[in-house]
Amino acid sequence: MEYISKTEFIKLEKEENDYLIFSDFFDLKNSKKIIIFLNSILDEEKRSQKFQAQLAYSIVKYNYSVFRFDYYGTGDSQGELYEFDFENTISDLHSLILKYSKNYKEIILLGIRIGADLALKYASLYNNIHQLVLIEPVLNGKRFLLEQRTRRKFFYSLNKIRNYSDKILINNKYYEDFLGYPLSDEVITYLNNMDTQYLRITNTKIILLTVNSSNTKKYLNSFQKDMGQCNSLVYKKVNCKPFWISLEPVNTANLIFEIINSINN
Amino acid sequence: MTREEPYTLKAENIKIKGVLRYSSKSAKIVILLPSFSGTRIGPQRLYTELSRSLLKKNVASLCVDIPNNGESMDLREETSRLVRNTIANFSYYIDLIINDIKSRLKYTQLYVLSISDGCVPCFNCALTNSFDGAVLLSPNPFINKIMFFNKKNYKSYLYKIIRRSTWKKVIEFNFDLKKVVLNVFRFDALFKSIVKDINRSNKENNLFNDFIPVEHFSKSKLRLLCLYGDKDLEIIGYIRYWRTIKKTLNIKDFEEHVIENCDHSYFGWNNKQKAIKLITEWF
Repeated sequence: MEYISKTEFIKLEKEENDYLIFSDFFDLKNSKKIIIFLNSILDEEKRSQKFQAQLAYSIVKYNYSVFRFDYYGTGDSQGELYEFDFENTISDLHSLILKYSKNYKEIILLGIRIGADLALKYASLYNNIHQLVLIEPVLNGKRFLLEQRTRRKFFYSLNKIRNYSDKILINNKYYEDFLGYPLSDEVITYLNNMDTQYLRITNTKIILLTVNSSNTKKYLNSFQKDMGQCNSLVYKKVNCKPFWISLEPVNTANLIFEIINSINN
Repeated sequence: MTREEPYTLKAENIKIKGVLRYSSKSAKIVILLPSFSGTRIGPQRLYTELSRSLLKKNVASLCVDIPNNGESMDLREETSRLVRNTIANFSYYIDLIINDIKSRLKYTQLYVLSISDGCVPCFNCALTNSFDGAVLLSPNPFINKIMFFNKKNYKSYLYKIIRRSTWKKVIEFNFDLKKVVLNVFRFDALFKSIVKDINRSNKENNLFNDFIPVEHFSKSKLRLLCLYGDKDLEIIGYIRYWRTIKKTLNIKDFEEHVIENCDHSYFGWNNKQKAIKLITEWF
């Protein structure tokens, strides 16, 4: 496959100020389909990086262009961690899609964890997505916050770290600290209100993939029921460890195989 | 004028990716190396934020992913997955990066930084390549990680069960108890040879493993900064080890700091900011 690999900082022009987003683009010459990756957040983003790189290299062989980027305030993009914002990220995603998908007939969003929920949110707002590939979506923001807060509590307790504060003051504004990742009140509010049952998506092919994690069946079943009504939904459970929380390397070959298989069918 | 650029190094079937940050006034460059399982961003984006902080002081930096983590890849057939060969590979990748920097980028002062189990190969490279300095975060010199495991000593099994790090793993491995047990006791053949070496070296009371080149056991002009978190389980072993290194190599410019209420990976916004401040001031 002949492709051009471009790793670069892209300038996004915004009303208040322009900023640079770090991106990686496999631009296939004759491809009519592009897959845009959407990361998770917090430490899950870092731990998914290897999986994403391997998946991107694999998908390109099947004649798909691949576009990956770090959200503003995360990874190598500009901005501080505490400046990350969901609404802003969706707006950035829209700008990037308009800029990079002009030459493509089909746009596919591939989201991992919170990235999958972002993909759903974007698809509900804009009618330009042909396919959604959702890898272990969170589906309920309150549950995600509860999970992260429980991990934080255990971490401090087991490490005997005392007198810590969940709230930190940065530039005269308070943020909630998730082990080094400060989230603003706006982000917390967004997560608290995040529930995919309120999203309206129609006529889209949705591929839902879960692994050997502890995602509750209640949310998955409800999601399949809601989304399956007006969309073509395929659900697969893959034998793979949850790589986004694992401290050790995880073999994600099964998951990569299933993703490519599902996209091609 | 400051710039951030993607960095790619291709050699044989190896591809190393990273980000280079520099200014027109930069004379120093720091290579930020992750641990064996880490990425160029570092724990909670520590490396990205640190490199931007250093850039404000006109210190250039290169954050890289080491194969096969993050974006970098090693597709050579002979790449082995055994721990010892991983350490050898790690050193090989560092050598490739250093050679590339020396040939392409003309910086007069070279520094290297790493965290946890990346510190020993990083320190070795700093010594063998006559670097100006090294920054070691939670520097774990015991790369094999099985310090207290002795097959014939049954009390060591009990110790392993009751110690805190075992119970941390229950959470970290997402309640997969099989994984926790295998990780704690490590009966697989991969580590058997390493266990033999630990028992032998413990018997000889040999503090140094074979990773520090013997020819450097003399005067060193290297500047060295070591950072630790006081809640790090192995902190006493680390401090003892690196103070001995300082004495043996006669490192005159040696600084060490312990951050309060901080673990091995500097989790927590305030801990991260303290680490960044200490390192930036040292430069």
